[in-house]
Amino acid sequence: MGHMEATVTSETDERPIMFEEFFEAERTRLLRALYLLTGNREEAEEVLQESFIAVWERWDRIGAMDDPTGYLFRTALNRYRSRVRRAGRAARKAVGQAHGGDGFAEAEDRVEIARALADLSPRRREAIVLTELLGYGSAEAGRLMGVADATVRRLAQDARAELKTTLEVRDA
Amino acid sequence: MPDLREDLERLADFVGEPRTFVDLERSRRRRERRRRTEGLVAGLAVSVVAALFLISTFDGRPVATPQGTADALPTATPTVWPENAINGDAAARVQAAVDSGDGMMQWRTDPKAVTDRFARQILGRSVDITGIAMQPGHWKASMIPCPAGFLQGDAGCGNPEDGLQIDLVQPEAQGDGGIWSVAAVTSDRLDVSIDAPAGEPVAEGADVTFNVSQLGSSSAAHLRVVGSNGCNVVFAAEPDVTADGQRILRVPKLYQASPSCVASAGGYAIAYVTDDTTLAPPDPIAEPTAIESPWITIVPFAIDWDREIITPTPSPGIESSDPSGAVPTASPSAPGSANGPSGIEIPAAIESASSQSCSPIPATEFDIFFKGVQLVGCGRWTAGTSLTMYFESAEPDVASGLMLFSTDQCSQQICSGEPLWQVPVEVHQSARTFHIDPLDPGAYILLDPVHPTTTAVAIDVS
Repeated sequence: MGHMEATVTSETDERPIMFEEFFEAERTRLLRALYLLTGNREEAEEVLQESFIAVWERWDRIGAMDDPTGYLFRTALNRYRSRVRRAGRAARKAVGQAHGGDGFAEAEDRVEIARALADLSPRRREAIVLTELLGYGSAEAGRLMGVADATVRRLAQDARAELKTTLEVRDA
Repeated sequence: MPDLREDLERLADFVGEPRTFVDLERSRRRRERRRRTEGLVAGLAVSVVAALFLISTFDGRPVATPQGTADALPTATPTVWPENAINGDAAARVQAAVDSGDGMMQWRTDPKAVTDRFARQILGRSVDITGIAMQPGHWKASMIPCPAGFLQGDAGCGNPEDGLQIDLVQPEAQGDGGIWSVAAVTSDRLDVSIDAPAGEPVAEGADVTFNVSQLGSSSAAHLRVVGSNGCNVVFAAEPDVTADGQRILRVPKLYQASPSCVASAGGYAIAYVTDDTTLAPPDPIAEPTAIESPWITIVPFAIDWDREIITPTPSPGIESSDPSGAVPTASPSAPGSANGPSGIEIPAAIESASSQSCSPIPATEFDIFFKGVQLVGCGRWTAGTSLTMYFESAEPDVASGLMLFSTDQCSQQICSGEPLWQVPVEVHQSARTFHIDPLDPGAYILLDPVHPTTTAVAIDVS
């Protein structure tokens, strides 16, 4: 299968950005973020693949955007949210435990914060992952989440407070 | 928490490396294959729940209709919410509950309350009702959905251009005390028309024409036709639409009539819009999702369907010549039933397939192309390893399913008894993915019970 044709040039060398380059540049960062959001490696990988394929199919358009990475992460967040909604409505543990194991639970012995992160609401988790792990500012994170930057700040602040409380209780 | 980022980084380290670009290419190829069915994708799930619901609700009696009651509408009007042809259409039961004084159901007698609940549950929004027209048994309103965070009546609640029209009817009894149901919702930007006389049942295969207009650059329209006869729920769907224009879907054929299927069949055409990055569900009525744009059009209809009762006839020569894919298995709408088929004929070549003739390389993924490639062959799996199977039908409107037997269950070209694993017989025009748990070492036969003479595979697990 041939790769999509290049439609944009990189800022550094003015050569076309191939989708494969984009994939290689973003895949690890996205997987790490999705892993923290879903708490499950397989779930994270599925969302990653769905998101990259969606972007790939529209690469002519998305590749020409100023910020294709932002589009990718917004796609991934929306797909993650769809799964959360479906899991909730179907009363199934589709996210985080979809494949018979909770990756965070397995990691708990090694990293205490895993469980605390898993206990956060999806929105708070998104805010903290975007701002802390990925280093987005509140404005950029807000664009990705589809909320105001003030909302991101509040969610991230609430997430930090909840994490702190949870960890202190467990330490006690 | 100065160490939070460090902690998150450390936790994220556990995920390891993502799959490669080659894996992504492979996933994309599979996805494209799944979409390759004449531009239309259909999904279907055998709705055992609906059948059981109907059976338990009506104890085998025909569904009550308003006909014959003094204060009822002259004909049954299809509705979409809360009751519809997909979820069992139990308006009579709800009306009875209201009549008996059930306080939890009194909101159903207030059309505005029904409208509000519909908007909240399906659109995820409140609505500002800007106009009402009322006739006996019929309530019509114009409304502007309010984005999350706005209250009804707030300035900025919504854009008049995003307004919707909603039609409610009283399906059981008119006047005070009669319950209201949503009969249609219309967005000017999503036009849906059905090739059938107004008010008449729609024939299977009838065209449903969708016209999408003023679609935003980052939006996607999702077009669906959903039908059910009480046993099956059948979808026809257009892949995400990202440009204005006209598309045509067809009312899917309903299959597998059985005594438990309702006498009447129905469904709805639905068009709705989301952000183009959102994964849209097959049916947002049955499975509410984020509808980022408040545009939605829903048109319900009754379906004039073939009520042929398919009786269990597991016998040799069951490859159906009927293009409707008449189903030869016993009670195909009841997967997991203790009553397995009494016998399904398989090709002699399958029964006698030797593991020596199979590829020596164990498969971990398995593609089946039904009707595209005649599948009669053999495969090798590794014991103790789960397997992912992609099942694709290149031909629309044909029922198919899968059953896995041990060769011990098959003799003289007949497999019988309870399958070790099965996928319900469904009309499923697109690809399906299945995960089969690890199998013990041994010899197995996987077959399509509808077309076992052309779709069967011998499997060696070792």
